Amino acid sequence: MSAAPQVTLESSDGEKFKVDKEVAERSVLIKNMIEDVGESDNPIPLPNVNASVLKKVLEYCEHHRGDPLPAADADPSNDDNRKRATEISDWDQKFIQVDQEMLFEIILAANYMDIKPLLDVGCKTVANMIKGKTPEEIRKLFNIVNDFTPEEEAQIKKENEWAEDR
Amino acid sequence: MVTTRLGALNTKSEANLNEPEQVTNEGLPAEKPGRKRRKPQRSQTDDEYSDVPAPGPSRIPDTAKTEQIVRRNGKRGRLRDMMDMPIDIFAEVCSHVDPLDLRHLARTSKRIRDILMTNGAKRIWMTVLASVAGLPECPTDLSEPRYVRLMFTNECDVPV
Repeated sequence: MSAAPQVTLESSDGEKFKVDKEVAERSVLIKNMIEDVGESDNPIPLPNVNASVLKKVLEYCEHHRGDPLPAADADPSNDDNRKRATEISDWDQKFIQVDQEMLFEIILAANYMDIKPLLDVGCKTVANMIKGKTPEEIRKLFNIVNDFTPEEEAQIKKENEWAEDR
Repeated sequence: MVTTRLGALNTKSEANLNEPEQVTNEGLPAEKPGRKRRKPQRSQTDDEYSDVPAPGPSRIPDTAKTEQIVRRNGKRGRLRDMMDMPIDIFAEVCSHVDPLDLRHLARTSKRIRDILMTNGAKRIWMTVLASVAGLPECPTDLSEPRYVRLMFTNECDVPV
């Protein structure tokens, strides 16, 4: 692999990461950028991702470098969404065991860099945190302020129709 | 790149939500040096979304928040950012929960309720219902939330 082509990525805080092109191209954003501008020695700037997050994202890309890329034309509403949260692989589960801030930033970075499988892992992880919780427990988990009055709260328990129908 | 913020959907409740702290640009937390808790300082109105909805009894005192941020060493992310994410990521998260969880989420705050209890969220409910093995399809004369209530709670569904 010594001759493998490499690219340099630059995080928002100026740190440079030299990685195999194959690894970087797990990100559809980077893949498209390389396709558009051709290979060059200039670092690819990622102004929305800081070094600590990028390091983590690249760790994921490195581990999954050989995976088949998800078909771009696959309808995400079908199979992908059916894959339930229990289906996070062992390695991914371990990988995503980070504090919630990092989890959030990984999700945003995966979204920005267009790394669907990673975005999926992140979203499933958050979904797993929500599962089985009461509204109050969900509020606590995400620091959501309950802005319903007690009367409203009693009322919405009965309301199960779309807002437009009210 | 997704830039729509949850708050942007809720124009009607946004008026009292517009506290300009925790503003993010482009939906991403840029960790800029010296980025601290802001004084009211407007940048991108569309993107602005308050970290805390209208003042309520359980609102965290400002001092506590400041302390938290200092402790976090200027890092932007806080737990509530989870609920301040681009709308399609929120939708993606929601599509992975179970029907009853969606119902619970829709009761957490006005903003989240406004997002989940509109026809625009029908697809999320359908996805979540479709993930339940063996569940009959939602009857056409029931909204998905009502169907969830019927199937997953023991509450009486007789309209009052």
